[in-house]
Amino acid sequence: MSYSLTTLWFDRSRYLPGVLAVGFSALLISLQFGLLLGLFSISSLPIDHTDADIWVGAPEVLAVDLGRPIRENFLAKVAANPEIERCEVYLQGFSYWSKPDGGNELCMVIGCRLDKDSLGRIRELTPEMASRLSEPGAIVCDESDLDRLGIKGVGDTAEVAGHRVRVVGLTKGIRSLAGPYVFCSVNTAKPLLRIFPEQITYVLGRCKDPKDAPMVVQRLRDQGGVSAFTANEFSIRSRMHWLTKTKAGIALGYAALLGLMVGAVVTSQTLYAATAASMKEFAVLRAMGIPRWRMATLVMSQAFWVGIIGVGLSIPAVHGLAALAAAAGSEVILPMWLQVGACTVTLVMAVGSGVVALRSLRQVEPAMLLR
Amino acid sequence: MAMSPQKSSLEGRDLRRSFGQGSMRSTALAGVSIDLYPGQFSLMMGPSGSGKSTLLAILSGLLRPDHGTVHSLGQNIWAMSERQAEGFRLRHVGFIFQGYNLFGAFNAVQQLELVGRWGMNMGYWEARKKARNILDMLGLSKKKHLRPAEMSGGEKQRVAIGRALMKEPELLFADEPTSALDWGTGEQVIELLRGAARERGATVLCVAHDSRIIPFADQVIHLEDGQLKGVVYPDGKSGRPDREDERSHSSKSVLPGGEDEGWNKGKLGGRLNRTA
Repeated sequence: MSYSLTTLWFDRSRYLPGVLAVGFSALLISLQFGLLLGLFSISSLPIDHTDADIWVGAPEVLAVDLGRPIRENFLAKVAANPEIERCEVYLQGFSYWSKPDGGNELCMVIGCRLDKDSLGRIRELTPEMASRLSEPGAIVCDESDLDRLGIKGVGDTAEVAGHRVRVVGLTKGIRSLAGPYVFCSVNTAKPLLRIFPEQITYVLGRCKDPKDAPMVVQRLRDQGGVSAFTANEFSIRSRMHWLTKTKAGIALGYAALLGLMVGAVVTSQTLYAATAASMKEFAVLRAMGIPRWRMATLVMSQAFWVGIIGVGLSIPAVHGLAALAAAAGSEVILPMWLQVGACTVTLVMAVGSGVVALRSLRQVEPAMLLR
Repeated sequence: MAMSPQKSSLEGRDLRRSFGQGSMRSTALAGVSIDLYPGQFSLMMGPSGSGKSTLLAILSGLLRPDHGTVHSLGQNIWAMSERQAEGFRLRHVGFIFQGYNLFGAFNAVQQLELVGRWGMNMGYWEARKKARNILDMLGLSKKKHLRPAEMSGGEKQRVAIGRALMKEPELLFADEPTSALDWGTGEQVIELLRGAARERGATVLCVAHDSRIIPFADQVIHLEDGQLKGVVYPDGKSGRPDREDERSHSSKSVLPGGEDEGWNKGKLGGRLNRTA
């Protein structure tokens, strides 16, 4: 075993606060980012839960839920591309839900084709629901939004933008952010969104070969007059918009920075105290002419291992707490890049703490051993 | 042993050192000149505050004097840059202190091995082998894998000596190496230091209070109030006629008779040579 690991194991109670501080920092960063990713994944849900390769909307559209009306003849423009297998209209926008017992609630109306090959129909809409949605005024919402919408279940009625709607089905697990999702047919959606009959919000396209999607998107952009994105681009754009617009990203950054600072202070103090406790032993080595960098390497190696052990402990803790959050209804998304990133940042923090702790070595003076 | 058996290996001239400033200034050394020789075990004695440790620090290159020169193995060590002095200590100097100062986490082998690897750029196995050999020689065969907390004071000091011997230093400085030990154990430590001088030809300077060590020394240097009061040769010759009484005192000292399991009294030299 290396000298640093031997020291760490022997003096484990002394190093434990540093290890825990590193682990806590990694945990905080991973969970905070994971929670936020989970939260904002809701904003791109219509993209992520459907099968379109290409989304075409009004110029400079910022996020999928901020689409503005475009003319329906854009459908032909998209269909004119030889790589496109098929395309269809899609409506999405905010509207007002009037509860049966009074009061209004902002809601997100989504109108799409309902056939089984539909590009805009979310996977959670079963064929039965799709069939019932073909009736005028029929809508489907998520069971988690019933209270918010002031209804009890299937069969209840309410008004959206002054138009009567009837609940014909309930999805499960489609959480909403600003307003509950209200799914319906294109024909039902138009009056609810108060747009003209020849207007739509998006044209969704599917390529014969999905690999051609970026090329088609670029061609549509070059033609001008529209915003065109691959599904993946639009999903990220939507999430990032809400992340930055709500300043949640900044709040998260501060919280993560705070976590890192607490971790850095505790870790550096732990390493500093441990190094200071061995001051006389280091002084003997210095007296014998052993260069200071050898001792610095030992301290840095200890910092590295404190980081590795702390990060290692944080990984199962992060996944355990994410599962707990999921059970409580909050999704925590932990992509690999996030986990690797959080571990790397925390490890760099631990090694940085080692650099700070090196100042204790400057106080090592061999003459201190002579009384 | 003769007064000047050969060319001195360590030569301090007119060494002066003060501490503090203004009215708080106190003189620790007031012009001390001294010669030490290879193969000799020199003992430095004197009352508390007499400047023993200050002189040892200056001679060993740890504390810069206000005035005077130190030629160590022919080199003026206080004319060297800090890096050069560090390199000199690395190549030639070993230290033993009263407080052992062993790393609590490391066992006896690791304490020595560390010096081999960090100080002499030895490989892991080479350093380990040499550390084991030295510990065998020091009578610590059965204690190699013990940490300091599991060893007695004498064993710890022997490990500290082993650590100093890892580099096979030509100059060995010991500051009160026996003051925390009982006489039996202290005697063994002194024997080891004397063995390092006799068998390896090292120049050994030991600061101590205990007059029972005097018979073991080749020369005894007396300091008082920062000044050299005399050099006594327990084998019969004195550096100053007025200090003859010291010799007679030393000849009356009680000869040591300590014992310790695994102790290899008198065999240090041969063993050292084999490990060298």
